[in-house]
Amino acid sequence: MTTTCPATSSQEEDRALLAPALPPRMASHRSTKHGRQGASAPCFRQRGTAAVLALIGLVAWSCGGKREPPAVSTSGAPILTGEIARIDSLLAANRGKWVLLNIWATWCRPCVAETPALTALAHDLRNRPFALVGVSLDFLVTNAEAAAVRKVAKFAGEYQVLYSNVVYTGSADDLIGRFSLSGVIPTSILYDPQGHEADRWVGAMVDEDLRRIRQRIP
Amino acid sequence: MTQRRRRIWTVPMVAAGAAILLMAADRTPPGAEELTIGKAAPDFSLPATDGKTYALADIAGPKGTLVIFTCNHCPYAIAYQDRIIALTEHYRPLGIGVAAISCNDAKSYPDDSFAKMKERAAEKKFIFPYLYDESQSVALKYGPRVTPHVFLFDSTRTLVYRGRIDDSAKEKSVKKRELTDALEALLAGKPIPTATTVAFGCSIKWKSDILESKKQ
Repeated sequence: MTTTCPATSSQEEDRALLAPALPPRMASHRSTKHGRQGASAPCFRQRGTAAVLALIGLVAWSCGGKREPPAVSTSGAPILTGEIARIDSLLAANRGKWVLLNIWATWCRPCVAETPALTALAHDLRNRPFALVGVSLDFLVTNAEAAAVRKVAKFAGEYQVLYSNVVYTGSADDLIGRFSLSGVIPTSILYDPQGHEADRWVGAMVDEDLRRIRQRIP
Repeated sequence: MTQRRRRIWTVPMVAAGAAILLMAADRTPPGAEELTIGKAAPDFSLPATDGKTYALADIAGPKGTLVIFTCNHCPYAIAYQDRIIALTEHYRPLGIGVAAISCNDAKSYPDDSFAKMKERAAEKKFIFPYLYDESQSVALKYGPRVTPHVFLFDSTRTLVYRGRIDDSAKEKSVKKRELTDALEALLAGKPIPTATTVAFGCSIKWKSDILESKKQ
């Protein structure tokens, strides 16, 4: 049993970059754990959230000065592409808030494992001065940018990711240099409202780390 | 609406709880420090996919030795397979011994099991020994952080280069080849231009008991 959201006309324009439907895995979660649900409830919620998040994504996109529009996953999460400047513009757009930058990839299992916890964190802190920004490194191991974006969009839909993601298209060197990376992903960096690094986690975050973040955000 | 929201968020919440329990296994043991330049190559005795057991002395070349921590499952490591074969083809006849070691916890990553390593070695026709460090004791001595992560030793088995093979998993995008530069310098008897680089890839999958013992 799969639950699909019929595409709207604006969604159809970006069809190539959209995950076509919630994959069976999430659908089976719904059917086994919570009984069968009609398509309308999740679709209504997804569309409402999608509209808000797509708007946020478009603002960030216009600030970044990039020409191509962002994709949006079925969960509503904007999927942007770009190099360091794009990440920096997204960080700048969130100045005044605490920002957790999560560097990850769909091919990285520890990254995948921590995604539900990050999604829950973003949800719990949605009314607080906090933003989560994902940086996907899927494009680092493929030559096909569109395919990497599709993969991330599909993943974001599957895991109900509601925060923006940048599919990084720059070099590993630039990324390592900009964020002083150790080479291990996931790496998560917490920035304070002034944009200064306040904390950093190399490897998947544990509940204690997430508790620490929750405590820090006013 | 409240009930709908609760239903929608229960799935990620439950998954989050389960994920948090699994996460601890992916941290680096504090004792696994990357071997530093100038240190001697730690010895080992490990089974290979070819059925033999190799010690460091069996691998070492007269001019130098290249030890590469890699694995089966990681897309980054997979992207470098052909380059490792090419490096071996080129540098082994020049006196550089080469071995690849996989040390990931096969219980959590079944693609990295010894049986799967044998399949990969046969399928890709590996021309270097592909060793299995099941206990992770060798990895603890070398301290790789990711796969692939390389350690190049000179003829006296002293570490002269550690880090990445080059700067891009996509071969067409490669601009810097630090390992090749180090190998060329080593063979020419010149100083290594860049002795350390940040290896990028998939983290080493340490066993939970090793992580636990290191915490105590």
